[in-house]
Amino acid sequence: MVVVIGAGATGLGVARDLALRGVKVTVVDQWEPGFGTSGRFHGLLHSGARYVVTDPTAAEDCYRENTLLRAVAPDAIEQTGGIFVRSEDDDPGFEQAWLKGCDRAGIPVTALDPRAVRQRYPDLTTRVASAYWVPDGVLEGFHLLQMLAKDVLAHDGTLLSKHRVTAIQTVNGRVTSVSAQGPNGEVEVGCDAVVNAAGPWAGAVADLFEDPIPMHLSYGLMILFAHRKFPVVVNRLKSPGDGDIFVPHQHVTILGTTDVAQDSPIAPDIQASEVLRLMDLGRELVPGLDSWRVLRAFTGVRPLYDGQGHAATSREVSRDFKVIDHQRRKGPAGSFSVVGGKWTTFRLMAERTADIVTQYLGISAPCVTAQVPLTLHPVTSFSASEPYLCECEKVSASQLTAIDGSLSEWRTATWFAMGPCQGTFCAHRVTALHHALFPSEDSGAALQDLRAERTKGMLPVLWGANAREYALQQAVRFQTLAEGDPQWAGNSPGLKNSSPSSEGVTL
Amino acid sequence: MSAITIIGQGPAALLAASFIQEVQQDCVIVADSEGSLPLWSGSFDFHAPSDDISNPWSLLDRQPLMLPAETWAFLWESLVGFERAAGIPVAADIPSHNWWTITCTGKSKSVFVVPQWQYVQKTFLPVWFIGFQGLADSMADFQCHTYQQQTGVDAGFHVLPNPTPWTPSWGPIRWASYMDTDEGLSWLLSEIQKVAPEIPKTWPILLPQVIGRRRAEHNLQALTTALGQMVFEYPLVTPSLGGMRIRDRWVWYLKKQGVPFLTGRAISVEKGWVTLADGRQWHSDHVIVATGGILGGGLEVMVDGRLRDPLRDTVVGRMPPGRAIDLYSWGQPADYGTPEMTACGSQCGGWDPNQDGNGGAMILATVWQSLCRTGIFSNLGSCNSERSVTHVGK
Repeated sequence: MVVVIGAGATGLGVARDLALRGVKVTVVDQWEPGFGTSGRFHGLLHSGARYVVTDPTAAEDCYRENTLLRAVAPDAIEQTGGIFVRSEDDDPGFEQAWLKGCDRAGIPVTALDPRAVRQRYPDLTTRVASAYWVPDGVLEGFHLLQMLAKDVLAHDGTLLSKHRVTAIQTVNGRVTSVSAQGPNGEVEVGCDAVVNAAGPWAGAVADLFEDPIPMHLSYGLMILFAHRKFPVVVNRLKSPGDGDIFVPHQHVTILGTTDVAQDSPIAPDIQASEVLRLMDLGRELVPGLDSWRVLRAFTGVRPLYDGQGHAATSREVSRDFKVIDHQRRKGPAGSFSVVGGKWTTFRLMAERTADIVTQYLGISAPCVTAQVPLTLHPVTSFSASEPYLCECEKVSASQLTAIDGSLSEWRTATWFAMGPCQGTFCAHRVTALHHALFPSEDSGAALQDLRAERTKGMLPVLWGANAREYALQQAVRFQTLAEGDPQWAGNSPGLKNSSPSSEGVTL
Repeated sequence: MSAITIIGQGPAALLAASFIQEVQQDCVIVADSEGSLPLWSGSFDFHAPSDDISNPWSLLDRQPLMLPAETWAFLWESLVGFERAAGIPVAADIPSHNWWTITCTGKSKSVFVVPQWQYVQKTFLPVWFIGFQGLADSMADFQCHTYQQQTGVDAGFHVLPNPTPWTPSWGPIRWASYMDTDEGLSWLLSEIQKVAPEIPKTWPILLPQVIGRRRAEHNLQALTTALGQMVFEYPLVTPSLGGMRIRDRWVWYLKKQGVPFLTGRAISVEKGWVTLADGRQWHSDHVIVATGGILGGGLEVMVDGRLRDPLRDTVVGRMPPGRAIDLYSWGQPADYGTPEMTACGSQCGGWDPNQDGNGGAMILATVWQSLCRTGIFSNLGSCNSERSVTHVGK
């Protein structure tokens, strides 16, 4: 038995890799799949082109994995392609280095006519000096997480959500079990090895191994706009920096990102000044950005690993990953950490980790995740005999009730409450439906959490139509639905009652 | 053209027009959208803060605009009078206390002046909720659960199956139009009769607020008579039939009184000159701006947090973006800084109905404040009784 700590892309990837090799696994997560970094990214399936100059190893890994994932997990990937555009203000020298880097990494690049690009994408600045096509794509993170989780369960694995690891027991210097605190008390899972895939919390887990690792945490801010403004990923052709990418994610567009070093694994409240700075940067590529219908802002924390010591800024920390066998350092035998990396390279990270873990366990079974396809267990399709509960995202009751999960899992699986109204008209309906299926759960608290989470994302971008929507949402909540519990309590627009699950902000 | 132009057709605009036509002054209403009444169930609330919801008359000094009790009484009596004249069934007497109504999620909410189709109670009593299977906002099982949990009072529920002509596209308005037919009413009666033996005779039966757009009172009365027990509606979210019925009747009443309604988007007001997007332009002695503030679109929030008034193309304030403030409380000063132009309703700043439960009071007080500036109240009520005015943010 192997216990994997963390149900993000890395943890579920490791668990699936091991399960496909015949190893019994239990995945433990303090919340739910995707509540950490994996559910808080811009959705880019890297071609690797972004890193060819600054981080060639990560670039090569990205390109190889990009090609592989398109083949094995097509349901979770949209092959949009991407463009890199250099503005007249950007360094032409970088363009030459970038072309050489793409060539070295084997990433196919096609030069485009800048005038044709401007005509095709009229939202772009008129100052496009040069443009190239690359095989970027869009990765549907929540779908891929669900596919991984289902596959782990299908291979005799166990998923222990809402359990926070509190201790790792050892006997004679070998890992023997993991204790975790859950809603019904503490559980202890016996095991032969533990894999720490806790992302931003990896440092805290390594402390339980009594072998600290130097994490370099930074958070990125992203702004989400309604409408799919570009059919392709749009990158700015310059050294990777802030506010230089637009990703079309289903029918929204995400502007990313910033890079701010921090200590906590939980991103701080979003600062207005940072939102304005990201908008300023975005406007350099899209001058009319202010007129786009903004939906919300969200942050994700990058769990970068600073193995070499101390980089001056997190942009300088490699996006490469590392598997640590703690036995070779100060930790017990059978304890491993996998740190760093990108969503795009999660499968490779899992493969390398599982190679080392199976070697430790004395099992010789090759990795098969590069060949065995992942399929999306289709969400029940809309039945013609029922109304939509969420009108923005067109979600009906039977689509929701087919999912055995919490209110937030219903949300990430169907995208209810994620559209222009941000749950104003559907959150109470879906809560009622969830209550009918799971009457023992505290549906009132779940609704409050959902509202707090939506509010937190809307507040930093209160302008234009989003400000109107927010005013409407507040009025519906407090004047129509009396959500200021118990009567007109003074908790109207605030962010009280936040549970741990709503500390971060997701899509 | 008219002496007074009112921009907007929400409750503040309709109330202002009602006062003006009553003193036989000319006014014209111009609006480019249908106004906010269809968003809400149509209760006018006085004051219901968290710590004392029982008697709004004892909390007059906590309203943003301090008016004496006689002025409040005059305003509520006028509102009730206009509503009744328009055929909206509200009780003739001004309430001396707040009422509880029940939301579609089963919570109790404090209200003040409410049409009689909507269920209200003074204390928590047993009730029987009816939901419709194919109506998304009727969630009778959850509603019943919440109501019991929050009040400790007994309650029951039934969910009725869909009628034959129902399709998934039926929203509240389509449901209401079905209920306006004889077929709809007889379907409803027969479905309730099937389950009626289980419903205690003394408990009121509560239906989702879609029991007709034109015939709601007729239908509720017919059901009450046929079933031998009281039948009322509980409010849903939007579109809200309660607010739509009020809007339909109030607008029709004002049109019958000769108030012209123009459709068009006002793009500027300058020294009494009102200009519409289509080029029409006229002069009024006074312009009342009832464009709904940020929610109504009468104020725009810019990316950097500045608030822009599109009618005068001016910045009227700055809001720190990303702060948990209530957008409702931001607005124009009542007098716009020019004597011939006033703001009322949500366009007027300084009120927070989300927090204070005083949305109706906000409409009454700000319309009164506006009309005092026009001088039409000289023979109706004393405008000198106003003691202090707060506006624009907190």
